[in-house]
Amino acid sequence: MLASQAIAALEHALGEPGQYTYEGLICGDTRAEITGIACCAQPSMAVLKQCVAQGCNLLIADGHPYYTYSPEWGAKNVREIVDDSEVGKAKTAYIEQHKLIIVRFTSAFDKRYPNAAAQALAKACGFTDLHTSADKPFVTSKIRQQSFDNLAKLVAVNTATRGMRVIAKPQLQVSTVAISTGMLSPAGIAAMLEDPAVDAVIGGEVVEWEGGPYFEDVIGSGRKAGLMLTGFASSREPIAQTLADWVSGELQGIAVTALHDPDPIHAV
Amino acid sequence: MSENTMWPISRRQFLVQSLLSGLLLTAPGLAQASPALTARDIVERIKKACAEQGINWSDKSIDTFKVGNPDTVVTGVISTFSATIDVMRQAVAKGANFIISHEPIFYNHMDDTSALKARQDPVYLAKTGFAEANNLVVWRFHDHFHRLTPEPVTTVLYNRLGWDKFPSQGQGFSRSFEHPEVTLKELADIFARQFPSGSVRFVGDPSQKISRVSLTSHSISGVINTFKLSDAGVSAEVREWDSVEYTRDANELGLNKGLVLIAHERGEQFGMKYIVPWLSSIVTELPVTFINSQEPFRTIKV
Repeated sequence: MLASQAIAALEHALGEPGQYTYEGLICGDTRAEITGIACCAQPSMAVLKQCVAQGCNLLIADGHPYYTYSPEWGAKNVREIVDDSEVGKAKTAYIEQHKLIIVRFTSAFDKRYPNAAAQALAKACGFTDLHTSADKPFVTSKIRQQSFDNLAKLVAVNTATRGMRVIAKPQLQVSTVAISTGMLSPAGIAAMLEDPAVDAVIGGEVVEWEGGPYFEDVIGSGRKAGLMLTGFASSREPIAQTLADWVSGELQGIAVTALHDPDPIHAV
Repeated sequence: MSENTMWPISRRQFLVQSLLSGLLLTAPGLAQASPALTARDIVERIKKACAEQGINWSDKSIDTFKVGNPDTVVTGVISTFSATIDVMRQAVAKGANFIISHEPIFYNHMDDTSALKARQDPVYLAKTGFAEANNLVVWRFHDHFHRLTPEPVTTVLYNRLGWDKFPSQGQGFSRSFEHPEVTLKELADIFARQFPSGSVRFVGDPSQKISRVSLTSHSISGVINTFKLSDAGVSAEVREWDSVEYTRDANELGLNKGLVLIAHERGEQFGMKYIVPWLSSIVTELPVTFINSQEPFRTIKV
């Protein structure tokens, strides 16, 4: 199968032509025959090396190899800055040398499957009793009542997160968790807290003049709740397997591998 | 039953509680009598003091009134990093009703409240209700604050870290310091100790040797620039999907670069303390007090 055929089939399955900025085909020659397909969260250099080592030339990534995750963020010329950087040049040289084809469907996939990433993270956290709503990008789960810090340690261990940050009182007792991924906005946090039973919120990161102080004020306004942040990469990492399962289902007969790169952040 | 079945609390409930706390906490005599100095008067004095430093005031900046009536007579002035509800409570307890906040009040750079109002956000209602009940005025001091001479944030940071004693090259975020050799982990430990902070994180090999360091802006372009100058950068907040990933790749490519991440609040809080004497010299009639809005995060060690 040609890479172009696989990409067209996946785009067709999502019902989206891939019109999103920083998405669709990122690099590579789609006229190439596929030697193997891999999926990942962050297309880091370590993941690219794994991809090559496993004989795959088509990589479907949740993140962006040149760090332009979303057009809502950063300067307009970020790509130019990265392309001109030492890392950007070396990464491009590696991609070209190994004839890698990298594709992103993140927005279309999130739109088609709004809580797939949250479900993947929730399962990685060890939660089993998941409650979903078709139009919401988060899931909730009832858990055994325990201290917030106990739960945070459990989540950190289960997701191999080294740099977990929290906003919470350590002894807060929690029994209902709302799980989302990536960047948590104030509106996103507010949506998760609409259910008055929710006392623990999990996500990737917050802007520290947006979601961070919003959650401080959640607590300041009397809500007994805590926020745990696994880090952006850790929160999206479980979607690698979700993507692999989806691609495998759509392109029957072709083996698809999920590639992983552990949490890049250390806590002091 | 969840402890949150009463949340979101009603606006009336919060107002009553807020007013009560204000009445109880504002002990008579704490609020110094002033010759009817308003928040607007104080801001005009700040603008004048900035002009004396050669800072042209931009009316397009975000340094504007965010909460309350600018013509409110001020009972005391608070300087803080972030006017959270908790900081507002502390201000009321000190008998002060004018808060100068470095960061936004309503959770976005422009303090745009339209989305919060549209969804009747309970946190927004609680915050504005508390402010109204206690006659608070909040003004933001960000853009022009960073243009003060000397620039408060970097002055305090360099002093706290002792970096101002180290040889350096360049200016601002392009300033690279010769640092006594430490590992990346030890550099991160220094920040955790000196600020102090319970949420310092880092990206890179913990044993990597560092002998040149720079402060880094919040953007990936800042990180890229820092890595041209130094072995490690220190930033008070970056976006993880770009700067953290870039650093991860730099190390995978063998470039041996470190990125230390401290909370935005830790990086800038003490700049708002640093300007208290300057503010006191401008507002001589009233007490000017720094309130530490406290580090929001702590890390979980496993």
